[in-house]
Amino acid sequence: MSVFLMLALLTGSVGAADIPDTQDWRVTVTKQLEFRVDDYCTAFVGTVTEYQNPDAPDEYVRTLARQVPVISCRSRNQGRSGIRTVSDLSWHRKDEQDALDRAHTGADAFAYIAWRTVRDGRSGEHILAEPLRVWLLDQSGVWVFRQGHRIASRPFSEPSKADMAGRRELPAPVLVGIEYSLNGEATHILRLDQDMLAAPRKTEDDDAR
Amino acid sequence: MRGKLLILALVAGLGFSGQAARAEDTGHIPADTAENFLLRYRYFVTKDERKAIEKVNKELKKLAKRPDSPEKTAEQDRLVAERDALIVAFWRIRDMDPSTPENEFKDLVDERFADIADEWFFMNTESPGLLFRSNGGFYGDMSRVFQLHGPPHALGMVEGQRFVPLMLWIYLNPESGRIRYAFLFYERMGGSEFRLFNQDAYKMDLCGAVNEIMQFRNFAYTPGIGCPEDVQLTYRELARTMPRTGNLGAYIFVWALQNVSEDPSETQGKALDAPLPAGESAQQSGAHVTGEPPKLTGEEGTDYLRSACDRCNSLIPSRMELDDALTITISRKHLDWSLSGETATCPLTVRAVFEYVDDARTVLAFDVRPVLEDTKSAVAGQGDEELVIPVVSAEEIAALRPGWYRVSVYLRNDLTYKYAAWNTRFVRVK
Repeated sequence: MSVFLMLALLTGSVGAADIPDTQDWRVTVTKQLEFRVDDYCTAFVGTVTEYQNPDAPDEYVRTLARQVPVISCRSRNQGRSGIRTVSDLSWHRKDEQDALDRAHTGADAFAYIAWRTVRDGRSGEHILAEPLRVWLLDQSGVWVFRQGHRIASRPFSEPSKADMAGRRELPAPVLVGIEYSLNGEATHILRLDQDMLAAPRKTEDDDAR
Repeated sequence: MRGKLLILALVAGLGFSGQAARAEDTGHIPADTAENFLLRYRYFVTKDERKAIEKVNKELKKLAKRPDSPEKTAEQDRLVAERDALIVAFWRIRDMDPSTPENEFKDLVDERFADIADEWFFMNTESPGLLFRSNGGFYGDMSRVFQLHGPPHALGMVEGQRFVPLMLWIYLNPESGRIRYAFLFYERMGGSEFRLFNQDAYKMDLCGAVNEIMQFRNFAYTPGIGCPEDVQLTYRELARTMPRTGNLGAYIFVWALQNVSEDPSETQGKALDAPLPAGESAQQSGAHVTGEPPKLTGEEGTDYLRSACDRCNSLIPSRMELDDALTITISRKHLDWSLSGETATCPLTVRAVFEYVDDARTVLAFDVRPVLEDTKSAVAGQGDEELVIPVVSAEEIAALRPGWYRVSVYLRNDLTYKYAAWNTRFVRVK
């Protein structure tokens, strides 16, 4: 273990220069960090990318990145013809992908999880060679490092703004994001603004009016 | 007119392939060229699109009469490019899947044209011997319906003593299994080609509809004043005649005299309109993508200034402090600024929600929308000066009911939608 890691274990925080460098590493998995707001809308708040070291194939790094959220809502109109539904969905997917592509250009990594595997002599399975090394960026822009801990994530909700505006006695909770935390010492929240969910929707009915 | 057609047919026969000849020859499908675009895709072009392309065509025609010159060539090139752009736009908004390089809609339409050229019905068991070219050709009613809707899901033909031959095309709604469209063709007035029966015109007049399909129409019939005996006899004959081909019952033919669809909002006119482009349909579907910030306009350094920090593409590195009051501290260089002359502004949205842990009914929200203002030189500098934004004042905190609160705080730069968020617990002691 490097002197740097020993120090980091003691202090808990590290500089940006100490986070893993995955440049030239092979991307093995990429997926969206997303959550369902309701039956029709999905919020995309970031990405997860897994890298493998091409020079040491048992070394991996998973990067979690955040972006300006993109909220994609499918049509709520029922009773459209099959071919229309398919083409509407294709157009919507294209809009969604274009927006995500633009959002990804402005993505920032906020967490790294690095590990190394070895082949277990008895079972033949790949197992962790050492405890996970984890970096999480807190909201102030400081990286916090821990070894042997995992990043916990949980849904993050807020009382409905619309319900509060309507002075409802018990505002319904609205899922607005995902909260990541590392050992209770650092947290990072990916979320959307509730106002984005109230975007005006143009429908056939609107056109008819 | 007859003479004119004959001359044109002769000219076509001699190998002259002029546009006028192609336009008049109803059995022929115009080639897929920009000049033929309006002829070839006439049933798919909207009024506005037609108008725009016709205008260019007219100008090109006028230009062709002028003596050759470099200016004429340049103007021709410009007009041809303009027409090409209109055609590209026409197809782009109709593409059924814009994420693929193919244009599925054009492929579908061209495939239907190929089926028309190959006489799709001719060998069909439900319509043996039926030809597009004997029924108006490419510009006939049969072709029009086929171009717009493709091959029917079911087809039937019926003949009788008192009524002219009828042919019915049925299109089903795949989700509901109900009749989406029923197009009825008839050999009008004893003519030898199938023409589309106007169901919209007889929606409220069954007697009139039956009269229209009679071998010998009753010209004495007046809508609303009883139904003549011979028309009634024709109706009875149609209702009990087994169709010559297909599996459709006679009752569907009777029904189709007045109905184009099981959906009462559909009309024949609407069913024959140019289909709504997929792009417009998608817009009307209500599906939407939101969240993206407005595009920054102007030049960086003159009209706006982005934050000068690493990994700040979506994050505003900042500290939230909650004690006697709630404040957010941000380094000036971590913000994006809008510039106007020497003035720099940064509009922010800040929202803090206090939820009383022991009673979910007690929720307090504090919304502030501060607009930070500074000089361009100050924000463009690399100085690390910090700005403190008051969100909830000490008085407001003091007014809180004592107890535990879950506090959610959200900060957003309204220029670029970069944000920071916190979730914490707070106890207000007595």
